[in-house]
Formats: sequence, C-alpha cells, structure tokens
Amino acid sequence: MHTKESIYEHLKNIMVELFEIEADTISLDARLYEELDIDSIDAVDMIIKLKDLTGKKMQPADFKNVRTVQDVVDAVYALVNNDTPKQ
Amino acid sequence: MADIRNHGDNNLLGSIGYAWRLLATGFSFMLFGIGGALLSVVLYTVSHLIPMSSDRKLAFIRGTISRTLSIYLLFLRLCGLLSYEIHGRKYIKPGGQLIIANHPSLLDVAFLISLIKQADCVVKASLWRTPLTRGPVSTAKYIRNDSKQLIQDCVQSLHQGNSLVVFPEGTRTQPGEPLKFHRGVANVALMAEKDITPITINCEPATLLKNQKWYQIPRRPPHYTIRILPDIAIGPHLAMAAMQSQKARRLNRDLMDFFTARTTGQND
Repeated sequence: MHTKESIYEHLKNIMVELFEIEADTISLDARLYEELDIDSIDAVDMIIKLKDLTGKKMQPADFKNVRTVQDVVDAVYALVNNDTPKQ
Repeated sequence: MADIRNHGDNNLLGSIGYAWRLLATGFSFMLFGIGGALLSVVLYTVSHLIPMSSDRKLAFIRGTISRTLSIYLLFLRLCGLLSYEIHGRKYIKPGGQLIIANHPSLLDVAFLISLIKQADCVVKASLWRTPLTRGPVSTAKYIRNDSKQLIQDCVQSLHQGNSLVVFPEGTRTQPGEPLKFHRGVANVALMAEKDITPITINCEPATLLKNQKWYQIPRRPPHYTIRILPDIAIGPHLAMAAMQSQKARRLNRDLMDFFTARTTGQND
C-alpha cells in the first residue's frame, strides 16, 4: 500500500539519485521545470522509476499536466489507487 | 559597461580613430539591415519562384547566408572594426557535425555560419519576429529555440546529415558569471550518438554584449580568436551504465568544464 507520504519519500530519492538535486531543496510545492531543472527527458526516466516502484502501468500522458512535486505525488497516488488522476 | 566618453588614447590620432570606428560601427549596423533586407528578397525569390529540388534549394540558401556573412565579416575587418584569427579549420567536416560554441558576442553566430558552409543552426525564436532577419532564418529552415520538440528537431537534422550549430548557453555569456549550459545539447549528442565538435570563441575586449547599445564600442577594436578543437567523443558517455537523465547531466558538466577551462577570464 502506498500512501502519499511514502510516494513522496520515494520520489525524493529518485530525484536525488537521477537528477542530482539536493534533498532539502525538494518540497511539495517546488516546481519541476523552473525550480528543480527537470526537463521532459528527465520526466521519462522519472516515470520509468515510478513504474518500477509501484508496478503500475504509467504513461507520460498521465503526467502531462503536472507542474509541482505535489502534482506528481497526486498523479502517482491516483494511478496506484486506480482513480483518474486529479488535474 | 563601456563609456563612450572614456575612449582610451587621449591623443588626437586616437580620437580620430575612435570617431572613425564609431561612424563605421553605425554604418555597419545599417549595412546589416540593408543586407538582411536584400538577402531576404533574394532568398524569398529562390525559395518560392525558382524550380529546384527542395534539398538543392536549402543548400543554396544556407550557402548564400554563409557567404554573405563571410563578406560582412571581411568588411568589418577592412573597416578596422575588428580583427580575427581562426585556428583548426581542419576539424571542420563537410557535414553531420554537432558543433557547439560559447557565446561572448553578437557576432559569434556570423563567424560560425560563415565557417561552416552548410550549417543548420538553433536560433532564437525572436529572429522570426524581427523583419530583417525573418527572411533568412525562415527560408534557411533553421531550428527555432522555442520548438516544442527542440531536441527531436536537432537529432533529426543531424540524422539527415546536416552540421548543426548550437550555443548551449542559450544566450550571450554574462561576463563575470560562471558559464552555464542548457542540458539540451548533451541530450542531443546522446540521442543522436554524435561526437561533439567544440569551438571556443574569445573576444578581447568584450563588445556587443547583451544590454549594450550599438555605440558603446570598446576602447580598441575587438580581436576574435576562434579555435575549432578536436571532437569530444560521445562513446564513453553512451557506454556508461546510467539513465539518460544522469548521462546528460554528466556530459553537460564535462562540456561546461571543457569550455570554462578554455574561455574564462576573457570578459573580465
């Protein structure tokens, strides 16, 4: 079972490992592109890692409208719980 | 920031030289405008009215822009507005090269396009909105830097056998600031599996910086030193066991280190 908190923790680890971001600069309201310098190619890698974590099918389209770390957490949470992701 | 009253040599000859350069600078900006307009007409005619295969047309257009810029640079040199030396021409190949350069001045793109006869180039989107540059950049089908699929456009251009010129800083260098590259070029090199041909541009003293007016000319004519250097191999980066996002960051860091070591201090 994945809670939003555990998803956030995993997401943080992924970002630190893949994107060399300092853990303490990551917050829920941090914007991916502007503040964390995560581009579309990074996003693809991030989705691959999230897929490994949750075992759920995920498509880049599921993350089309994400802007902040919170948005990613919500989208993953919704997918894990088989809801349509909230926009 | 250059001050136009403070023009170095206080003797008469120095003042005359300065006044001449100021006048000639104004004239050369005007010439650039007129040249751009004439070139637009010629290129428009070629691209819309002359029956030729689109490949040949594009080659002609890019070749014409290259030659025009060579002539323009020669003119600037003959007017005594600048001087330049170019090293390592042997590293320029007929096509299919991913070429990156630092970007200290407004004229850098002119130097590179004139050196590489058939260049594709990532160009600032605003040049499609400027009347004098719109013609050449659109008929030459250069790649706009605001393209939604910028990286794919670049990879595709390289796969078609074009040489592609990119300024990874995305804008002119901020003097005194550490060099910073966008990761796009690293991603292009990794996806296209292309070695990178680095070109360093040193301009001493600095001129035509961002936010400078055309009449803010330096005390003495700038001297450009342009070095085309041997390729940076992409193989070791491709072979690394890491995801694309990690490889791109490492490669980008290597590229920034490479250029920082060869260009720092030039604008201080």
